Amino acid sequence: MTQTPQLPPQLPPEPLDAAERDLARMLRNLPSGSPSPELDARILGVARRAVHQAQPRKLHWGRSIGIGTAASALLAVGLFVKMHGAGENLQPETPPAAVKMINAPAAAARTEAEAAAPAGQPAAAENSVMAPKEIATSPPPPPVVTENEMPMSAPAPRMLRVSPSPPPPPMEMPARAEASGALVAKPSPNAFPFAPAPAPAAPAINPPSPQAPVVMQESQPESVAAPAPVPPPADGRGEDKAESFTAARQDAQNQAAAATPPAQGLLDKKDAAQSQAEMKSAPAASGYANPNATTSTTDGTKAKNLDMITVTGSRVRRVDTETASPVLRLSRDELSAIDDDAKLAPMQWIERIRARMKADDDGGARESLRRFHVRYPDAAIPDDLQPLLH
Amino acid sequence: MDPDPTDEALMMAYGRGDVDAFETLYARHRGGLFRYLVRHLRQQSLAEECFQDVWSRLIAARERYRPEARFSTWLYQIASNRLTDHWRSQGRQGSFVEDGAERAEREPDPSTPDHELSEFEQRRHLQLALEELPPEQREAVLLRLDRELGLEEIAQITGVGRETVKSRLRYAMDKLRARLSS
Repeated sequence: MTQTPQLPPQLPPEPLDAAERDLARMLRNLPSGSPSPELDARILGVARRAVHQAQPRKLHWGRSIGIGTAASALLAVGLFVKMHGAGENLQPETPPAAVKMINAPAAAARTEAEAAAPAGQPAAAENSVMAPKEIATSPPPPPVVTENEMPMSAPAPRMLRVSPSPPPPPMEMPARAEASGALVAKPSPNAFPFAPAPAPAAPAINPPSPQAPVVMQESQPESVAAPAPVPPPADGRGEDKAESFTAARQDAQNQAAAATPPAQGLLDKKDAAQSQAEMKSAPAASGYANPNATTSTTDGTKAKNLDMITVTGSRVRRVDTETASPVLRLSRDELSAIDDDAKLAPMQWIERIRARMKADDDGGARESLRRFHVRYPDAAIPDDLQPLLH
Repeated sequence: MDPDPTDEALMMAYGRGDVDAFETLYARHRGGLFRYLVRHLRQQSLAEECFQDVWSRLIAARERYRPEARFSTWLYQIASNRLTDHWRSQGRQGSFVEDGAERAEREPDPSTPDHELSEFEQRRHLQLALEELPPEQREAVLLRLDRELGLEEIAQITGVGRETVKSRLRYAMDKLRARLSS
């Protein structure tokens, strides 16, 4: 029942002297009574309840541990499934500055690869994409990253929405891509060398389909990067389809570039300069050529039914994308004048913005105030200028 | 299994959930503790209230108990703290002497030559003398005479130094002897 604990050191006995013994004897004879049975029962009941109340707490704690363990296991399984599913699309090498595009081209390339394989060997064709030998002999592949697989720390890329566009191949697609109506693709150079596409695969790509917009997604928001020069196919049968896709994408990029300047008017010059620098450096880093370099490879069929391009992305600040309505058009001189506003002291800057409002220069006032808010995010905006921020 | 476990072993066992160990422990100390409280507080109902509080505090602290001192020292330390709380809540620590004096006045004068003190009267005078003592002196003398504890252990229970206990005991014993011999 019990274990003998380490006993405390015994104090030396101090026996009572004679006078104390007499008093002690008399004291013991004093009536003192004893605790009543009710009191005894009450105390013993308290002792029992205290122990019984402690035991369910331990059981509850054990149950909590079990629930926590089950939750951890579920999370681990979910991560495994997620990573396993992602592994089908992820290439083994991921250049850090690579352009990530939503993978309609990859799907098309896969379509071509599967179509080029014998009818009974689509799986073999797909497996060959991941074969180490093929990867080793192919150029460094740009990664395929779906929207759902973008790393959390990566900036949200600008998206070019092209509608209508070449439809998705009528074969296996990621379920989430089908659900979202967007196909995630990449220009996959290594898909072409072993993808001798037969002729019947071409119609699956070229006819426009208004129900299936293709979303091309890029990590370099200001630049419209073109794919790397496509290696010549092994037998040339897939060249038409590859070129047609490349041309369609190039056409979309050109239209996006044409539509970009009004939107870029909302950006800081700093961002614009930075984006231009990135535009120059990114292709070299990612293995993609700039649009001029790819022009020679895009002289094939082009998709000409583009009717809308929407430019979004993290490089466009939220204040620009969510509050810049209507779009401001500012001339170079006006922008220069707004630059001069930024050289003023904060109070003078505010007064200058008010002066612009009084002069009916709402666009200049709005842009100047936006820059003021960017520079002094903690500064309180006067009430009379608040509408300019919204 | 130890057939005669120590108080410390029983308390450790109860801390682990052994209710039987507590019952054994309670049976060992219920009488002594209750007597100590009754002689301290003079009222049965008040003593019962404090008695229950002391055991409740012990039960609540069962998982924190470590045998760093004898169990009885710990138990009477809890009782001493409870008594201190009681006197503080009464706010009249010195009034106990007055109550004792008032009661002594109601008693027949023992110094009269024609009054032969019986053993019963001596015990009663002892009780009155105890009531006249300040609480801290009464506490020390009760622990010494009733529990036969040494100075060191009384000092641990009451939370004062050994010399302070020695001084309190000396004053208390002198008053008791004077009261009984008068």
